[in-house]
Formats: sequence, C-alpha cells, structure tokens
Amino acid sequence: MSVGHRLSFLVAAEVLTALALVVLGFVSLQRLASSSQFLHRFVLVPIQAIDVALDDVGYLGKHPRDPADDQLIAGRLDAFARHYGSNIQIAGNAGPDAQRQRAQLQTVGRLDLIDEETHAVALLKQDTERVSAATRGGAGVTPNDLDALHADLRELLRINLEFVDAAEADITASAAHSRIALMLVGLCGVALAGALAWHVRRAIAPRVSLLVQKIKKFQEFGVHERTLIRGRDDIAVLANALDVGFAAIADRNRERERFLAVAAHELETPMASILGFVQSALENPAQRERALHVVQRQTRRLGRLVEDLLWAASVRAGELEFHPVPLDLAEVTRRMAEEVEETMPSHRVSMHGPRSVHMLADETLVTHALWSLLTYAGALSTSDAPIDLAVEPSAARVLVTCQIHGPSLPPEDQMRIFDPFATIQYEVDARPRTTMGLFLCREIARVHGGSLRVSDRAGIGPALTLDLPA
Amino acid sequence: MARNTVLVIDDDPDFREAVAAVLEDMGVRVLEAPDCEAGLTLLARERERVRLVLLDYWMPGRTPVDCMGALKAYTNGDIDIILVTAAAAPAKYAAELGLSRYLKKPFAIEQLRGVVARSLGSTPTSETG
Repeated sequence: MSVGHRLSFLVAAEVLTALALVVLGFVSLQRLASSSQFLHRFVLVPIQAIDVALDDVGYLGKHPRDPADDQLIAGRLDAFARHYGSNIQIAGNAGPDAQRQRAQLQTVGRLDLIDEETHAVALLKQDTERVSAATRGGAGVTPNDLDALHADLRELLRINLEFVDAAEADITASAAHSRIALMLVGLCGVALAGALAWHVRRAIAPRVSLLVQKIKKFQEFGVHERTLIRGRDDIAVLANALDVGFAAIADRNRERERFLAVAAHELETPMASILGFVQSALENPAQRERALHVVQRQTRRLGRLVEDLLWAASVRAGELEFHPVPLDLAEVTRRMAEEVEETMPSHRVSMHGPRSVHMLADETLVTHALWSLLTYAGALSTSDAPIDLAVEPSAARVLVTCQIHGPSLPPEDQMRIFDPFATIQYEVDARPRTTMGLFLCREIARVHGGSLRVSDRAGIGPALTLDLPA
Repeated sequence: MARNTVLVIDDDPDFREAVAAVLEDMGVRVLEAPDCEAGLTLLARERERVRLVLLDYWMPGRTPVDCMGALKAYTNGDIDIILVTAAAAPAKYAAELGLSRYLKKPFAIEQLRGVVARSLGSTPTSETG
C-alpha cells in the first residue's frame, strides 16, 4: 500500500471521528433543547397557569368584592379547567410531547400520575362549572366551594411538580447517555487514529530513516551501498531511484577520476620528453638543436591537449566561439596530416582527394577537429598501418573520412567515444585514452552545421567521417 | 662481460631519445624498445649485458602485467626493473607489477642518473626509486 494511501486512511479515521463527535454533540444539544421546550410547554406553563388560578381562588375568598368580578373570575377558572382538560392534560393528548411525557413517567414508574391528573382535572371542571353557574345566578361563592377549588388546584400542582421530577430524571439520564456516547466515540476514534498512526509510522519511519542515513553517508563519504527496502510503495520506489541515482553519480565520479588520471598522464608524457631534452641540452650544448626540435614538437602536442581541455569546457558551457572564413579544406587537412605524422612518427597518413576544396569554416576549429581525428586514428591503428584520409567534396557537403586499420570498435565503445569525460582502453593499446578529442571534434562539426559519425568495416577497422556543409 | 647496459622500453620515441642522451653522457650503453615485444627481443639477445630495464606502464601490445611477467622470466632476478610512468599514482602501478622502484615522469636528470648509478654500481637490490 502506498504511503499516500496509508496517510489517507489515517486522516480519514481522524475526520470520521471528528464528524461522529460533531453529529453526536448536535443530537445531544437537540435533545436538550427539546427537553427544555417540553418542560416549558407541558410543565412550567401549566404550573404558572395553576398558580394564577390559585390567585383567582384567593381573590374569590376576599371580602367585600364586586359580584361582577366574581362572575368574571369564576368564568376564567372554568375556562382554565376546560383548557387544561382539552390541551394540557396528558391522558387526552396523543401528540409527541405527550407520548414523551408518558415515556418519562414509565421510566420513573409513575404512569399512575396520568390517572391522578385525569381525576384531578375532572374534579376541577366539576367545581369550576358549579362556581361559575352560581356566580352567574347571582349567588355568592361559598367557603366550601373555595376549599374545593383550592384542593383541586393544589392536587393539580402536586401532579405537575411530580411531572417536573420525572422530566428532570429523564434529562439527567439523557445527559449521562450523551456523555457516555461522546466518550465512547471519542475514545474509539482516538484508538483507531492511534492504531493507524502507529501502523503508518512503523511502515514508514524505519525505511525513511534508512534512506536518510544512506543519503548522509553518500554526502559525507561518497559511499553508496544498495539498500534493501522491501515493498512496492512510494518509499521502495524512492529507495530504488536513489540507488540508481547514486550508482550513476558514483559511476560518473569514478569515470571523472579515471579521466583526470588519464588526462594528467597524457599531459605529463610530453612534459617528460621536454624536460629530459631541456636538461640534457643545458649540460650538453651539442644536444641543443635536437632538443629544440623535440621541444617544439612536444610543446605543440601539449598545446593541442590543453586546447582540448579548454575547448571541451567552453563547449559544455555553450561558449565555443565560431568565426567562419573562406578556407581550403584540402590544404588544411594536408597540413594537419603532416603535423600528426611529425608528432606520431610511427604512423603514416595516406591522403586521397582533390588538391583544393574551398568552403566557409572556422579555420582554428576545423584544424583542431582534424588533429583530434587523426591522433585518435593513430592511437587505434596497428603499428605501421597507414591512416587513410579521404576528402570528398559534393555539391552541398564535404566528407572527410578517416579509415583506421586496426581492430573493430565494440558497439558499446562506438557510443562512448563521443562522451567528453570517458576513458576507453583499446585492444591495440594497453593505455586508456580520453575521448575528449572526439567529443570536441563532433561539437566542432555541429557548430558548422555538420556531424561526426563512426562506422565499422569488417576486416579493416573503424572509420570516422567528418561531414561538413560546403 | 661488463653489465652496463640499460634497456629503455617506452612507446614515446622522444622520451627514449632524451633518456639515451643523458645515460650515454654517463658512459652507459642504452638499448631502446618502443613496446614490450621489442623489449623482450632485445633482452633475449642482450641478456648478459643488460643490468637495468626502465619500463613504461602503458604501451601498445601487451598489458603491463603480461609484459612484467614476460620480463621476469628473462631477468631471473639479476636485472633491475624500474617503472617509469607519467601515471598519477606510480606507487600503485609499481606495486601492481611487484616492483619496489619507480620514477615519476617528468623527472630531473639527477634522479635518473641516481637510480641508474645505483643499479649499475651494485648487485640487484629492492631499493625504492
């Protein structure tokens, strides 16, 4: 399972827990609001009304008073009794609040209060009707009537207060249930998220730690060891990518180090001859002319090698300068062949082609490209074999083909010979050689709008073709 | 028969010539070979005269280790061999060939004279060059 999926599960568990807690909290608050509304409508309002009715009964007992007021108050008490019987009394109510009240009473084992309320309301109705009829007929309210009304209303008040007790018990129980539910959901959510987090940590942390150690080790010591990271998730993919990347960097570093060693060797070899002859000539004047000749040749060779390095750096920085001028490529090629023959006396260059080939090119660059081409050919040619150099002009292009007589170039080396910092060890030569010269030769061809190709002719050897626009 | 001949095996003709010029001024006879095969041929012919071989590391033909193996078969321990190379780590290459003496190119004439004089003026030893 990918790291993203693992983290998604963790986040989903936390979100679900939070959502469940919000829903549960909302439901609990709704229940609380509903209980409060219920208390107000079916308990507090009736108790207030009963209280007002008791005040009215108290007024009827006062002396002296206006008969018209008696009639009005008695009518109001009668209306209250009828209203209570039809709208408030639970026995006659089938609405949800009444059902809830019944459930509350059942919970506290006081369903009998419904019957008691019915009975109390019936008595109240009976007494208020009688008192109302008496006041309408002009008769006064007797002390017995007042006592009866007091008794009815107090009974009703007692029943409603018991309803309050039942509602309170219900709300307390409901609050306790909500608290337990919230705690359970919260604990389950925390446990689930914790378990997932532990699983994610266990699955990710040790491997990430391994990768960090691997990166640090590579940064500090340049050491790379293949990491065994199991699985097929993102971390395993990352570890594999790091392995491949580090191996490539390590290979490239090794190749650069090898290149530097070989390049240093190539530079110091002419230096050894130069120094040897200079010291010898200083001690023995008879050697001077010969020494100067060798120093001139080796210095030229050294200069070409240094140019290789400098121009390879310029090419890689995209700063190779290109100044085309009209030139005779055949003449330049002859000149370079002579220079190479002089530098590599064991090799002869055999030139083929017309005497003159006029074209537009950068003379310095083309000269260097031909030198690189011929010295490379010299390095690969078997001893005493000539290097065949053909200059073939056509309408639009000029091909300079350098045929090497020597062993074939393996396909993998045909790819690598244009790598700027590679070193290749050829079959004919125990010495590894840098490929920088051919890299430079190809780049010089490119800035002219041409190319450098390598091919292999079975039984003869590799051929390098410099293809330039005429 | 005087054993005062030095065999220089190196593919750079200018270097061979420079070494020969210095050593001949010392009165030392010098043989030159451009590669290992030519060196072995000369050694086979002049074995009784050659006292010292100055051997380049990288040359056309045989690998350095092959060349060294073939040379040892001829020298029989009585001819000194000194590695002469422009390689960046000559000690490593000398050790690879089982040699304890080497000269790092480019070198001063005095160094060359010193190692040649030590070889010609002594029985074969394993001193470091």
